[in-house]
Amino acid sequence: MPATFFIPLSAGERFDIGRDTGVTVADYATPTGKLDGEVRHFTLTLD
Amino acid sequence: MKRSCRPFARVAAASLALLASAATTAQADRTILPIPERPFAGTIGPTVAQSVPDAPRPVTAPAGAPNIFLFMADDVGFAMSSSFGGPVPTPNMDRLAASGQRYNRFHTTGICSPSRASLLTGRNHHNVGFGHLADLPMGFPGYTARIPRSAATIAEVLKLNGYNTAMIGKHHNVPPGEQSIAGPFDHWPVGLGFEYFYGVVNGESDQWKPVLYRGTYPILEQPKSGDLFEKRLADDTISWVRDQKAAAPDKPFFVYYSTMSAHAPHHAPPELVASFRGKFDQGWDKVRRDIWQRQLAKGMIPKGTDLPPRPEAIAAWSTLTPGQKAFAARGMEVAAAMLVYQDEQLGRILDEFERTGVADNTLFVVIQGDNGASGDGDLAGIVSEMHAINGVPGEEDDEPWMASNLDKLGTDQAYGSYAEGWGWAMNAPFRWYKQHASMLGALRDGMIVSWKGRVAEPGAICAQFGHLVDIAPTLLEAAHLPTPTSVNGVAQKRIDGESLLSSLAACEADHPRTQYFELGGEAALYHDGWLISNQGGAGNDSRPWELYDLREDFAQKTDLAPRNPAKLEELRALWHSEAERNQVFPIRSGLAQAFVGPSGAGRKFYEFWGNNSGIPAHPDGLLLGKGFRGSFTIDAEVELAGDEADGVVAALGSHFAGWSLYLDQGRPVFEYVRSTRPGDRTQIAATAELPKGEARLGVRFIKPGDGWKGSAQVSVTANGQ
Repeated sequence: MPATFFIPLSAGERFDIGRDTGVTVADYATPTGKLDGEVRHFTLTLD
Repeated sequence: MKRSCRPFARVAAASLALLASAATTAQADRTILPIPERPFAGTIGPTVAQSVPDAPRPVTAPAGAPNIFLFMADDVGFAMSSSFGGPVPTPNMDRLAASGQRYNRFHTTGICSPSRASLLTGRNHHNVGFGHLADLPMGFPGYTARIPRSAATIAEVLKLNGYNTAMIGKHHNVPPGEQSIAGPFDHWPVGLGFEYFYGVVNGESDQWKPVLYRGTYPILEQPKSGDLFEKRLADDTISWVRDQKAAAPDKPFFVYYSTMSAHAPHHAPPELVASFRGKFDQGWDKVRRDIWQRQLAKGMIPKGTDLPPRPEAIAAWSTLTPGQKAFAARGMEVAAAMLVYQDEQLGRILDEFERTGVADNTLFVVIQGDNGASGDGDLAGIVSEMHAINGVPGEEDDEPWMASNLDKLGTDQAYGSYAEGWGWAMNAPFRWYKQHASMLGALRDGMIVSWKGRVAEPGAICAQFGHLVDIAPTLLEAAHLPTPTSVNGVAQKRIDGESLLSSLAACEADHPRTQYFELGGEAALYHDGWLISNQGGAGNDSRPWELYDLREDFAQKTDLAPRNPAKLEELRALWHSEAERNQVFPIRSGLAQAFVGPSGAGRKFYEFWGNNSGIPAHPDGLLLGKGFRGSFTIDAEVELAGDEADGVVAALGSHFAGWSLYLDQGRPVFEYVRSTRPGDRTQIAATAELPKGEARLGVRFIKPGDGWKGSAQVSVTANGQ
């Protein structure tokens, strides 16, 4: 990854599971990136 | 016959009791809120037939209390709309100005959250903990970013006096750490006296795809209509007022309509943007001068007002390259279209109020900005605010980049703002722009008050000093309500503002007044026509104070400090005493201390169970803490519905900056977007597809060192591979 960011989002954006609300990060094949399936469990650990 | 009359007699007695009850409410001591419940005044016998009822009565507003429509625009400078000589036609603002009265000496705090806190409470911004933005609290009384219960909002006071209350639009008075579904909601609109809320709690939002809230719950589905934020607000306002009047036609309402135009990101319908094509090609120096001449010709500013020169730090239009000029002009076209669109939505509301008769007894207060127009857009304007924040190399010297993004401005492919020079021009004839709390360019905005039959000279321009702290007292007086001394059991702080209601009948240009200003070390004090200002050293007097006689120098052009040091010293001492009295100290130095101690910064572990869950990224350290400036690990257990599955596992942010872990035809992909510039979007994709069924995905993001800049190493695993 050549360069990273300081603030990852504009105000109002969310950290989403199983979809991408608001303005999406990428162009997904499904509307708002709705997952064909289920995220049963998700963890994010910051160092 | 005699028996048959008894029920009627009882009904009559009960009616009398109810009348007495209503009278009691009308005469209640409204300085203590809620108004204490009235003791039971009927009689109780063995049976209902032998008793006289006395049903509880709701609190009613005083007779003649008007509906109130309070309109707050965002980052609209004094000189942007045609109502105050600006280049953007706002016929619906003008319509209210024609029936009402304009104020050309109305003041804000110079920035968003503090202005809104003052507006809602009638108190100075430090006095209610809003010395700076809601996003930037400090652990000092003037900077908590939490409106205290000892400063009940105008919405709370009106609600407790029999009004229905609604806030529709932008709030920006909720501190970090209190913006998720976990609350607390004390500082959300519904915790500050608004029975209904529809809008955003942050300071800004994408206008094409905003994440709106109704009450305290997010509305995550975007409408198929693709309506911009402003239209959604107007639609909701019209709908709410229709329902409110259908339910209780005699009950007055208070609607706080808080738009986001013309705050960044500048978004507007393309056809409106096109309607301004070429209108700003002459540049900000010429446009500002034209505005000033129109203002003089139409009496919007006093005769003889000089136009202060452009600050050296703001580029002359003539120094821009052709490519920069084209880009900058388009940015202003977008901003102008945004304001027109806002005005069109206001017009829809006014039309509806006229059609339904609501306008006949509605007090309209329209404030054209929570501060002056913004200068955040650099030399020629910006495609995305995120670029500057994230240290993306400047765009202003990259003409191919500007050319390739020209037609994206205003669309959902940009998150931009117009050039610094336009912000300065839109504040004509004043100096500087938003955030410079020593300068009228940040502090002064146009205001319009309209109330049928109450304005002595419709269309007039009033030169009386006014400030956002004056609005709450004005509304209370209009509603025939006293200032409460106790609200919900809490003794109330003093009100800092004064009612402006009498100015509708007789504008008093020489009305005596003292008002301090302070933001990040920039400061000013107005006192009976004089103004002192300090451009960034108010805390320790490290920069000299300046002195202006605004009675003769409307635009704050000529510093009289060398000629009148005694007056300067008198007012400097007064500023210090006002600062002490209003919790201004300790003074923050600019934004250098902006990220001191954000709430939630210490959280390290996030866990989710199931699809369609999520949290606002803003409050929980993801944005303000070390969060994604450092290393992190993702572990996800998924159940795919079929082969070649698509869709998101987790995503943060947007295509302006953010990342997403998703499946593309069964292939896990981690996509990281630093900016919209070429080369700043990175995809790391697995070569193998995951089949239908259970799978385990992992991401390890390693950021060497402590700083946020530089490269990172990323690995993506699927089922341990």
